Amino acid sequence: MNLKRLLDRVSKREPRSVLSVPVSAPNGESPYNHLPPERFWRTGVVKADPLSISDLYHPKFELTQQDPIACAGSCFAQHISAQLRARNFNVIDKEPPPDGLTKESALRFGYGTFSARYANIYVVRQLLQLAKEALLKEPRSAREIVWMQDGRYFDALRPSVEPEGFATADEVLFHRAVHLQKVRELLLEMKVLVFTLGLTECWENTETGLVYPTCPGTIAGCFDSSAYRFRNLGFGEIYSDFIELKNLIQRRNPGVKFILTVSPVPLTATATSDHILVATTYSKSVLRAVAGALSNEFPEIDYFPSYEIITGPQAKGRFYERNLRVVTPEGVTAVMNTFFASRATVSDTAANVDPANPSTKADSEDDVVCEEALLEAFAKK
Amino acid sequence: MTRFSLCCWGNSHLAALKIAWDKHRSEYPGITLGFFGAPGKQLREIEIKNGKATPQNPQLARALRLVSGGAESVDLEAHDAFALVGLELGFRVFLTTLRGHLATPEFKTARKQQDLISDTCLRHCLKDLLTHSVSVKLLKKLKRDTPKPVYIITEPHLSEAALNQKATDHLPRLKRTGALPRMHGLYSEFLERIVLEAGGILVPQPSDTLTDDGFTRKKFSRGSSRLLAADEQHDGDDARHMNEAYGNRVLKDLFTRIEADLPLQGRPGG
Repeated sequence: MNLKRLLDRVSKREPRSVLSVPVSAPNGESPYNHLPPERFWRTGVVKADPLSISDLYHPKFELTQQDPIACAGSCFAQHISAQLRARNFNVIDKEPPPDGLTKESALRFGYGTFSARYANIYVVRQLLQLAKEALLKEPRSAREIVWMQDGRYFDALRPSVEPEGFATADEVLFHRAVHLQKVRELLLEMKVLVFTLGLTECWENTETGLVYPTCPGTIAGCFDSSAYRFRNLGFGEIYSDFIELKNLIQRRNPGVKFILTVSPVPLTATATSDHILVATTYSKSVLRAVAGALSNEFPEIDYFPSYEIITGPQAKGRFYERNLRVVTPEGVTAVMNTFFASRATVSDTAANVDPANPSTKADSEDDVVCEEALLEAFAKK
Repeated sequence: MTRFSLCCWGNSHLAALKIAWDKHRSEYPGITLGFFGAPGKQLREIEIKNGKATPQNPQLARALRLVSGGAESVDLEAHDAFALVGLELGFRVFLTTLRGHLATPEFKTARKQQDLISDTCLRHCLKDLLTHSVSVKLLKKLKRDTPKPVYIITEPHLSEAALNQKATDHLPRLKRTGALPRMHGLYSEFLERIVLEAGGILVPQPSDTLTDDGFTRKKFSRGSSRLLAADEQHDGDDARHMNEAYGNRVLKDLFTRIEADLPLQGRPGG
């Protein structure tokens, strides 16, 4: 879709939430007179308990423990996936780990984090590419998706799931084909997709436009400025990528619903010329705007405000570790308690999660795999 | 002459050695064998400290008293060497992994009944299984407390009877893929390396007890005995536990290995 037409369409369309929750008042009275406390900053935020902000989230649709859920997204999505599993939600796992593999090894090989071994999906375009590959059998050449490092071969679209790579390029392609079959099954079976938008910055193949989860040369591959270029995707591109993704899936799985979140984890590094703080704010703002626009427009898309819980002024930074980047277990708990508390059907189950057990209460950062953090290695000390 | 004292620790697989020892002990006059065991993985709850092994819970203590004939702890100084028998270390455990997952070459011929894993992941899986077995963990605990030799006797390979059993119905499929020889080779390579790194001495399953496919010959599983009631036999179709004939065959290899390692006079017991 032409970007200008798309932006026109979005800007002219009245957001659904504005229509569904009108603010009205008798003539002569301020429309703000009769608003509930959560609509005011002082009562909604200043006086709120940052661990449990009331009336922050009103789910658009029910989510039962029987609904098949698919989870995908950035590092933060791993927390959501783990917490849903800990509370006995039906999170699909199309590629379970083999018996005998320890939890640590399973994580290293990308098992048990999401609903299949696609690893972190930071930008919407990555997920769209994956869905096209899985559902439309969109072909990818070995040149595009096989990277080499120290004599081993890696799947460039999920290099972290085989940390030691494969023996041959053919094996990469064979494993990818089997993986895509699993992703296809997942996209057709899921009733709800929980997706965390993580980044706007990405690296794409100059020839084909394929985007990669990591910059070539970070985990595997070799950077070549003629083969790869940096992209900082804007609102229109991300919005239109998600619409294309939604339509693609809904044509084959009509009842599917979406829960979107925005990762509160700041960028580790930016490839723009901006300061990292400016770049992070820009990225997260764009993603938040896209998620809001989609949620306002479509009844089957819900936005869950985990981003606000962690980053809002009421939190005063308490939900970040000392590096001001990693979200603390307390932060994850605050997010997930809000998520589950708003869903009356699961409150009993939520209460049963042992708060003393960090594996069910909130996952430690050690358990979260974040390729983006590898960029730390490139930072000057 | 001083008798050589060997203390055998293990789980249900200890029974075959105990029955064999009771029957054949007169053939080894220079050896004293002690047994110290408990079912399943219970021995992981044993603490080894200051030359003494003591149970950490009453259930384990009870089982140990029953197997050892009254003692629930072991004074490490009282023995010349130790043998760890079974304790979840064996090819069977690896075969359980292969029930659900196969590496690339085997997956291609398995009609996709299992999930695909990379060879690297399979190797990590095997390493994790062996390293985290009760046997290897106990071996490490022992070696931290005593320099005395510790012999490792793995759980026997499943009997060929397992090929006809519902609980192990993946085995005939696995056999058809041709995976077993490669998997067995991989298992043996890792087993040897991990036991050596942990300071143990591996006594492999006698090759004449095995079929070409890596199963224990059926004659060694008929009439196998239980650990806590050695006079009671396992069910007729038990493919995991072996009988007195097998126990005797293993004892022979074990004593041969000890004889080679230690300056005993004549053959073990001689």
